[in-house]
Amino acid sequence: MAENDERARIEEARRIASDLLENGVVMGVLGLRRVESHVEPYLFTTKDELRDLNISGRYAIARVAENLLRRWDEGALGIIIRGCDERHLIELSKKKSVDLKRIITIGLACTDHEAKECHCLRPYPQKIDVGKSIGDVDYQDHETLARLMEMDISERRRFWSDIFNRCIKCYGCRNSCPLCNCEDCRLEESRWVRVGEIPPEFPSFHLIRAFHMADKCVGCGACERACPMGIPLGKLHQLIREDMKRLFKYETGLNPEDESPLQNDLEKNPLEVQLDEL
Amino acid sequence: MNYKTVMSTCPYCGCGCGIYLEVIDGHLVGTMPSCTHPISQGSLCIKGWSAHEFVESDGRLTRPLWKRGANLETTDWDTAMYFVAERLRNIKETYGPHAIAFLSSAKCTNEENYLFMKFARAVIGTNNIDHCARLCHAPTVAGLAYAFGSGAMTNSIPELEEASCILVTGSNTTENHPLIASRIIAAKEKGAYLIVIDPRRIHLANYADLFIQPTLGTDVAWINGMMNIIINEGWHNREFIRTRTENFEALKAKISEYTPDRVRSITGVDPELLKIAARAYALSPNSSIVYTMGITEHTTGVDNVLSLANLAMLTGHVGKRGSGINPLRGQNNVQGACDMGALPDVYTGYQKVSDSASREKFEKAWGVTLPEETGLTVVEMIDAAAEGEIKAMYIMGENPMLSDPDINHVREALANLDLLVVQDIFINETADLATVVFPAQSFAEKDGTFTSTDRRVQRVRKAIEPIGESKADWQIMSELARLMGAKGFDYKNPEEIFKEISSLTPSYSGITYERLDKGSLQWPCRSLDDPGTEYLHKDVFSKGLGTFTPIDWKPPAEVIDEDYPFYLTTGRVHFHYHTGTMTRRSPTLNREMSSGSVDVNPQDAEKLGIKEKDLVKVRSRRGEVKIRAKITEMVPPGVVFIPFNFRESAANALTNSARDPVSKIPEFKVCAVNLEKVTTRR
Repeated sequence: MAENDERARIEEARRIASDLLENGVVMGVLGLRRVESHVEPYLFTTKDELRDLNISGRYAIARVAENLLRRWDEGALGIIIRGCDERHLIELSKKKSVDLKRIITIGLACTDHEAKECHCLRPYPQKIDVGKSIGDVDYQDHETLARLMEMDISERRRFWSDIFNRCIKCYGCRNSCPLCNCEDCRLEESRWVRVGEIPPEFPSFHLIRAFHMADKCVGCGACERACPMGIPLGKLHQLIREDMKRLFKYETGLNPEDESPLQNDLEKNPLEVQLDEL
Repeated sequence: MNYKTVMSTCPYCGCGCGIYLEVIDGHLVGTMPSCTHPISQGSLCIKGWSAHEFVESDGRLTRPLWKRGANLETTDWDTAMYFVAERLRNIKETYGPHAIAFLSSAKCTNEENYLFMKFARAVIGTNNIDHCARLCHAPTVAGLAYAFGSGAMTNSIPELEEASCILVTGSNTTENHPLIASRIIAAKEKGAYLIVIDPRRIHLANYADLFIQPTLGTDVAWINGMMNIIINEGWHNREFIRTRTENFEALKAKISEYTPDRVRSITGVDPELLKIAARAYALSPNSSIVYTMGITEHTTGVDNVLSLANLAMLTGHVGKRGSGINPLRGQNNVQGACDMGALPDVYTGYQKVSDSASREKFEKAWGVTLPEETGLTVVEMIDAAAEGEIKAMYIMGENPMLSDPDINHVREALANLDLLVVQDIFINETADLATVVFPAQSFAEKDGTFTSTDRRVQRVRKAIEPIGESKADWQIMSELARLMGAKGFDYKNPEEIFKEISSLTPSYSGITYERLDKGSLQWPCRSLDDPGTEYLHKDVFSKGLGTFTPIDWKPPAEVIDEDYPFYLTTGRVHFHYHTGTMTRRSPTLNREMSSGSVDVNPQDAEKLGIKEKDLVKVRSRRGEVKIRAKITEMVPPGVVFIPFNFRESAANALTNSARDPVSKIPEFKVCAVNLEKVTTRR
C-alpha cells in the first residue's frame, strides 16, 4: 500500500515535471533520481530522464537550486520540493540569494511516516501538487527537549561540552545547510575559532553557528543527518526556534515578506514587548 | 547550463565513502555525501567535503616534462614516451630487468595498479614492484596472513556498531578514519565498552571507558600482559582454542613470562588498569580490535600484529559478526593496490610468485615467461639505487621524497639513478628529481575501481574531462607497453582490464562493473551470484586452523640516550593527507592548517623554555628540521610528535629506516631526537 502510494506520488510528480519541461516554462526540473541502489539530486532537462525520478532521498536541494540560479543569468527553474525545501527557498529569498519569481515549485506533501522520521512540525509546502497534506503535526522528541531544559546551567554546559567535543570539524552541519551559506564564514576565522584543531573550541564554534542560524533555521534536520559524530544539532536548533517563537513571535520559512526580528537597527529594543515573558 | 552529480568514491582515506561530485558545465563545483551509501550515510569528513578542490587547481601537470640540463621542460607525449621506452629497453638490455624498479600507487585505481604490475612483470620481467603499503600495513598483510590466512580487515565498517567492546590501539581514528570513528561512537552509544590504548592522548581517548597510555614501542609487552591476566583468570575461550587454533601450549608458556609486574616495568602500565581492559575485552560477547600504524610502523611490526592475532584467538573474538581484528587501511586504494599484486612477492589476490602453479597461470594468461625470485621492497629499492644496483625507477603516484624514512638518503639514491620516471598529477618533491614526468589524471577524470579498507570494491566514475593533455595511468601504461612491443595491452577502457583481473583473481572472480553499478561488493566474491563477504573466518580460518605465535618483546631499534633524549613519533593530521600534494592545494584544508608543528608536553616545554609557537630545532642522527612548537598534553613527557605531511618540516628527515625483519616496514613510530629552541638574534 505504502509502496503503491509512493509510486502514485512519483507518477504525479513526473507528469507535472514533464508538462513544465514540454511547455518550455523551465530550463530544467531539479529533483531526485534513482540510479540502481542510490538516490541522488538531479537536474532533469528532458522528459526521458524523468523515467528515473524518485522522491525517497533526503537532500536539502535548495542548496543546489541556489547554486544553479546564481550561475544562470536568466530563466526559471522547476524544483520538486517538500515543506522544508519550500521554507529553505523562502529564507533564501529573504537573504536575496534566490529570486522566487524564477522558481516554479512542484509541492510534495510528506506522509505521516516521513514526517515522523524528520521530527517534523509542518510536513507540507504551502502549495501542494502531489500527495495530500496530513496537516500540522508534532513529532518533536519532547521528552529529550524537556530533559535538556530541566538541566541546571552547569549540567547543561557539561552535556553540550561533552557532546560538542566529539566534533571533528567536518563542517558538514554548515555544508549541508542551504541557509548557512555566508560568503565569509565566521567559523573559518581564526579570531573566533582557532584553526586546525579538533575538536574545535567549545562553545565558540557551535554557538556561533547556532546563533547565526537562530533566525534562519527551518528545522529540516539536514545538519543533524550530516553529522558523523551523532551530535543532536536538531535538538539545539529546535530549542532556539521555540525561543524565537516565544520571544519574538517569529517563525522562519513562512512568508518571504516577514522580517527577522534580529535584523535590527537598534533604534528600538527588539525584546521590548516580550521582556515580561522572560 | 548542465548540472550533474557523479557518484564516486572519496580519494582520501580507506573508509571508502560514497561521494557525489557536483559538476556544472564541465567543472567541479562541490562534493556532497551520498545519503544512501553504506559507509558515508550522508556524512563526510572535512577532506571528503573538499575532495573536488584540488582537481582543477593551479599546478596540475598538463604536459609531459623531461629534464634538459638541470631543469624540467615541457615536451610532447610522443617524444617523452619514445624516450622512456628506449631508455627502459637499453637499461634492461645492459643491466638486466632487475636493474629496474617500480613504485605503484595506492591512490590509483585497481585497474591501474594491475596494469602497472603487469608492465613490471610481463614487459620488463622483474618482481621489483612495491608501493606505500610497505610503509603502512605490510606487517598486517604478513602477520594476519600467517595467523589467519588472510591479511585484511576481518569485519566490515558498519559491523563495528554491533561490537560490545572495541579496543582501539595505535589508531587516531577520529583524525585519520573519521567515518569509522563515527561507527565507534555509535557503538558506544549503543552500550559498547570502549578501550583506547595509545602512547598519545588522542581525541577518542576522551570518549573511552578506559584509556591506557603505555610507553612508546612496548606493544608486544602490554598485549602479552593482557593475555597473561586472561589466562590466569581463566577468561580465555577454551572451546575456540581447541577447535579453531594450533600451537596454544607454546603461546601459554611464553605468556607466563609476562607477569603484570614485569609488564609494568616495560610499559609503565598499571596492572589494575590492564586487568580491567583484559576482563572487558575477553568477557564481552562481541569484542573487536581496531588498529593502524601505531601497531605496524615498528621494527617489531609483524610481532605486534601477531600479538593482536594471539589475543583475538585466545578469547575467540574473531570470525563473528561485529567481532574480529580490524586493521584500518590508510589510503583510498591501498587495499586494492595490495590485492592487485603491486607487491614484490605476489600476483593479484596474493597468489605467490614463488608458487609455480600461480606463475604458470599468469605466464599463460600474459603469454610471457615470468621471473621466479621475489623482488625488492620500497626501502630496499632505495638502498639498491644508492648502491648503483638499481639503474631506473618508475614511480606512479607516490612521493617517496617525503613519505619514506630518512629522506636525505632517498634523495641521494634517486639522484644516483640513470632514469627516473614519475607519473603524477602534480609536481612534487620526487618529480623534481625526475628524468621524465608524465601528467596523469585525478580520480575525477577517469573510470575505475577502488577497494576500501573493509575489502569493499567500489566504482570511481569520470566526472569531468581530463585536465590539459593528461592521460589516465592505465592509458599511459598501455601505450608504453605497446611501444615496447608488448602484447596484451590493447584495452579500450578500464572495464576490460577489470574483466582480466576477475578472470585471474579468485577473490574478485564474481565482481563485475555491472554488479558494482548496483552497489559495492566485498571480497572474497567468487561467483556472479556470490553476495560477497561481510566478515572473514566464520567457522574456519582462511588457512584452516589459526596459528598462535609465542612472541617476546623487543625494544625499538633506536632508544633515547644523553645526546638524543626525546622519543619522536610521527603520523598524520586530520586536515591533511600524507605528503600534502592534494590537501595542501585545497583551500579549505590549507586554511585550517598551512604548516606543521611539533607537539611537546608542557613539562618538557617548561624545562626547555619553549613556548607555544616558538621555533624549535629537532635533530636526529639523520637530519634536522626547524618547526613551530605546539604545547599539548596529547603527548606524554619525553615524547614529541611531528606530522609527516609537510615538506618544509619533514618528519622523515629525522626518522629511522631500520626495518622489521619480515615485512621490511621502517620504524616511523619511534626514533631518538633532541630539541632546542631556536634563538633569533634581534
